[in-house]
Amino acid sequence: MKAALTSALAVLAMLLGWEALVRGKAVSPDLLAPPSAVLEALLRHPDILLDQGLSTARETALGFLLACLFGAALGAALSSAALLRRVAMPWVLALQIVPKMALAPLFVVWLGVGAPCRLAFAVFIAFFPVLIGTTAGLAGTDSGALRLCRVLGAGWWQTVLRVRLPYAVPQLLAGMKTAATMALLGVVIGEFVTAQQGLGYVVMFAASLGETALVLAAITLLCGIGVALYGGVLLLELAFARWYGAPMPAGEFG
Amino acid sequence: MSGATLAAPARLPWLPLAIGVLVLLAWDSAVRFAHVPQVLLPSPGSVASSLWQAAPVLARHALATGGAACGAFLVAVAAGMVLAAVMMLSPLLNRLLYPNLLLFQLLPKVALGPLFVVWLGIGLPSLFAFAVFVSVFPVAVGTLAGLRAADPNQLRMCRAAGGNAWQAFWHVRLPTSMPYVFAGAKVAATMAFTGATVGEFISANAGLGYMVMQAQARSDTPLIFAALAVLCLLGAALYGAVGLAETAARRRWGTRR
Repeated sequence: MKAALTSALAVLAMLLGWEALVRGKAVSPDLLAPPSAVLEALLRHPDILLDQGLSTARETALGFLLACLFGAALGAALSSAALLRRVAMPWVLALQIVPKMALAPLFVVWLGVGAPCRLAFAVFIAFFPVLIGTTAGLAGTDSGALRLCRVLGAGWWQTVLRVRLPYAVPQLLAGMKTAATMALLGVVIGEFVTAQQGLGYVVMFAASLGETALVLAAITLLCGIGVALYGGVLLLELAFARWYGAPMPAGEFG
Repeated sequence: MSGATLAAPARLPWLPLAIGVLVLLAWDSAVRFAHVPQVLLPSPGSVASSLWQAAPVLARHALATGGAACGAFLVAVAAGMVLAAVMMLSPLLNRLLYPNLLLFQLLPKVALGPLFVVWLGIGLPSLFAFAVFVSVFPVAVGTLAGLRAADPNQLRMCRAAGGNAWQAFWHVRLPTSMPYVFAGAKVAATMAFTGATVGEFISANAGLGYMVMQAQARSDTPLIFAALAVLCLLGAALYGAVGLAETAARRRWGTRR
């Protein structure tokens, strides 16, 4: 509780210092709008921000869900087939290394400047963490538990449901947390390169007009979307921990 | 990542390479026989010839992007480590900075790109600052986690032997933090290239990201592929260099953890 209070105070101090810097004319408000101006911009353009924000939120949520689905399915497939894993895993890892976000313009070429392009790009960059999390989780099953299953005569399906899945879920959730951030980033970068709609477009447009207050207002909303999605995954993690009764190891991205 | 299934094999991975060649052949024949338009999917051959023809231009832009990204990476690693060290050594600064660091972690940092253009104008300074900004956080968070992961027994031992706080930091905390620092640096390597390229997407007058946007406007898809291939190669090279540095550091200072 005390730690939370000091954290809140530290953030508040940062905001106040920022406001004071701009008020004291140390920084021009055109370059960095003070928090009060950001709040004002949020209240002044509710219709634009809400419209564009909803569009971004919708695409992010959908992209995240699809990424989780694809990532988990592909991860399960890779884990169950050794040959497939040997063939595909080096490529998956190689794709981890390259700056994937730079591939956004290709999606514009393939899918045009509409929502499908942004959605596909968000899924493309968000599904890797889920895939990695799923494979790592499924590979990390306690071998003793698996042997116990065999001794007790559990079927394949039972083993998966009762043993492999509970062991895999914490890693999967860790991957999903990263995916939540990546899906939002994917949509925003997609909005940068398609320049059609969404908060990313608002950021670009307002920045080109020098309206830093509006830029920061849009970024605040983006933060809100990101926190909401991340919080959703955290709730899922909490629910899972309660369901299985045991404290599961938290993810490495926590 | 755990276990043998995820670790990259040490010897040459023949099977994946063979599959890669097969995919390339399938791609080529699909484009040739199914008449996929060049704009949508250029054949590997036309990408290669585009790569060859545009080589001088590509090299110039690659130098701009690679230089900005590598420079930003080095600055980010140094700044991230210093930030983490300062936060480790001063509890007050830690209390002030850590919540703000977490706040920035929540922020979609790449979305701040256009602001850097407002602040520093179009060109290298804004690009560089943006790339540093997006890549400094993984290093800072990783280093901080590493510095805090020091073995309490070793710290007690250091104190018992008469070591002061600085010696404990230098001889115990820093060595144990190395694997964490390198993990953060690997993420930063990718992020530096991401930052540089996204910065070039937003606005630039040079660099591979700029070139990609230009090629996209002209629907010159083979050139997009060529530029992206160079970019991916550069990004992978920096990542590989960090990996090599990690191996060298481990060999030099022995395996701790």
